[in-house]
Amino acid sequence: MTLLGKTAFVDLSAGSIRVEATAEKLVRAFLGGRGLNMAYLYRLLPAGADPLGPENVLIFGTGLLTGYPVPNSGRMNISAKSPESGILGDANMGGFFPAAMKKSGFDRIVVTGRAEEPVYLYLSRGYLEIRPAGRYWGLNATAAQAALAEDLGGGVRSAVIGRAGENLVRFACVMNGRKNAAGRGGMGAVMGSKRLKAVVAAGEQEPEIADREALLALRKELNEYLHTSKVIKILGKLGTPMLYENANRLGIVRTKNSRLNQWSAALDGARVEEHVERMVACAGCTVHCRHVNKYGGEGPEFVTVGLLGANLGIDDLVGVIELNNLCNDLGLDTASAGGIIGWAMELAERGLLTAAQTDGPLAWGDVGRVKALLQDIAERRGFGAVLAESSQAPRLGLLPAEATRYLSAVKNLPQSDPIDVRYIKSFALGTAISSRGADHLRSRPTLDILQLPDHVRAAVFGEATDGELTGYATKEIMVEASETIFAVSDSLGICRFVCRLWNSPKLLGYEHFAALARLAVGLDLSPEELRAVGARVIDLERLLNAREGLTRADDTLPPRYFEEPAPLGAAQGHYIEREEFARLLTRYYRRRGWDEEGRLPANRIAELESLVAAGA
Amino acid sequence: MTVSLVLGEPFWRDWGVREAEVEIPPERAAAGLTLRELLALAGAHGEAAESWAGEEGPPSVFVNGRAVPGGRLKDLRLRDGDRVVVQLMLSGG
Repeated sequence: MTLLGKTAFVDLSAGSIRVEATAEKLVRAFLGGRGLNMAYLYRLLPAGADPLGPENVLIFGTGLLTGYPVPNSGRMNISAKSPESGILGDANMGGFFPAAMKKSGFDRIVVTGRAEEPVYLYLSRGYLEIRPAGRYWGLNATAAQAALAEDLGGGVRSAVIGRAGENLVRFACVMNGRKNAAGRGGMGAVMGSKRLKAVVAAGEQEPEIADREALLALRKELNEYLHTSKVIKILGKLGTPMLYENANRLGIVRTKNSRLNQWSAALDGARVEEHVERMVACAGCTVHCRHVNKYGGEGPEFVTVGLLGANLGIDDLVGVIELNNLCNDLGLDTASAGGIIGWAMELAERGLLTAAQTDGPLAWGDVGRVKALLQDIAERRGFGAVLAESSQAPRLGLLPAEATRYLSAVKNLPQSDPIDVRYIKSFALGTAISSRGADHLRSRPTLDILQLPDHVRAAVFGEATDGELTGYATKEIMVEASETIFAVSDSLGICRFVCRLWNSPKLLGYEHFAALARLAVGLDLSPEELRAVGARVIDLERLLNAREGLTRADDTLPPRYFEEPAPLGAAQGHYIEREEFARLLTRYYRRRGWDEEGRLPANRIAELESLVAAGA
Repeated sequence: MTVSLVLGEPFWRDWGVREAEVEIPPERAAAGLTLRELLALAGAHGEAAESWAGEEGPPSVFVNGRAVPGGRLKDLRLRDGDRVVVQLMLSGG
């Protein structure tokens, strides 16, 4: 017997709430988190919906194991149609809110409609209320969370939007704590469009556990196992900024809007350490990879060091940390913020934007100007209003059509991370096929770059692969295997940092996930059945995007990666060869069981639609 | 002959060397050097490299920017002026 939680359906236009038990058939097919969010999105989202209209469906979904005594199970996904990309939007978040939501009695909240006045949702002991949020509207993320805690008691945890979300900035994120963000795709703007300022969870009750004693014993065993990993120990000591130095030395750090691929050592992880007070962790985490910095915030992560540093030609580390803290408070995705501002800087350099259009000079490395721009973006002031539209600005006539070719984006989502993918071809494929747009967290085969021995790669990828980083052969095997297990960990609510195939072959895999699911919620699925869930989630995401008009032509890379060889470092001269890439893409489709155009077979579509309808 | 050795993250922290110019006797260069041997010549804690190589693989080794599969430095014949970089190539963050 599987223990089932509750799913709430909230119509903000009508002010109505309906709560039902999550259907077991849906849980067996999609688990929770990202997977189950996709099922509800597919079922409820009208094709062609306006992402900022009341018809968009906004889903807060905890992972199946979020909030349970399971290693690193403190995560959830927030999903909707993305106002930034126009396709599926899905952002994963850690911190303390996800576990608190589960401990308030809810697996998932599905929000539709638009409130007349600002509201927040209050969750406690299986009950949900829609409450007025006028007092909090206008506050940024830190102040809003503090005010909610003051009014409701210090134990509550909130997922909030800042000014960026209120003003419908297309890359506004949802924040909980000082740094944890559901960052990608503008989920904060969707909240803003619904006049939903926050979801607040009291988090008073532990979830029922199928076999508590055995689960606690397994957690202890797995935590000990994880701490035998050198990678886990290093991430706990240094966090992700240590990635910068090594990537930069190789020449794979996106620099100045990806025109260059190498930048200053002033942003090295060893330098970041000088500005760190201590390391902290998310709920249930055994890694402890988060930095509390000396300037009133947390971070920066490698992504932010790269995109608000190298990508903007900034080598002032304190400046980068301040930009990081500012983005988090305004509720802006640091990845898109760095991508979009870098794009504008190149457009200005190329003469496609004049100083008059940009409200003054827009030069690489100008920290003060970037700070002001972030504020302007969040408030939609002046040129900030143009950048607030992100990749959609050319379509809206706010930037020349030619501008698009200089945007480092896939499927209209600015690239999520600072890695220049021209050198490592498996990374290029992963970026191109990612279901939410240019993204590393969805499908990057991080083990490729570790140069593991052949037998280790064969064990983790399930068959022999080619270890040549710069080659195209067998990279589809690596991408498919990585993408599938990541979909499963996202659906369980387990952090990528303890998931096998992410930075280490040694971490938790399907066999561990199966045991944890059985002991926590009584869901009895074999490792192979869990792998099938991952494939199902990927296929459903493909179907969702196809419904929005995406085709094979969208599984591509920014023109620069095909046309301009990387100019610096070891990666010098490397680029993506179009015909080789096309063949690699076709091999990936075949591996997924799709046709040459990347379409699912009719019987698979029918199977998925039947599963999605379960419990409707 | 002389090669330059760079230890990147996180190895420089525990292995005692960040960057070094390493003198290699010609006969040893001709026979090929393991990473441990190269590290020892550089005054670094060469034994640490072997303790690293377990289930999570050996340290990533690049010679003149080119990856050395499986860190098998001994399969190569280093040449005068080569630049050897040893680092952990994590890319997921």
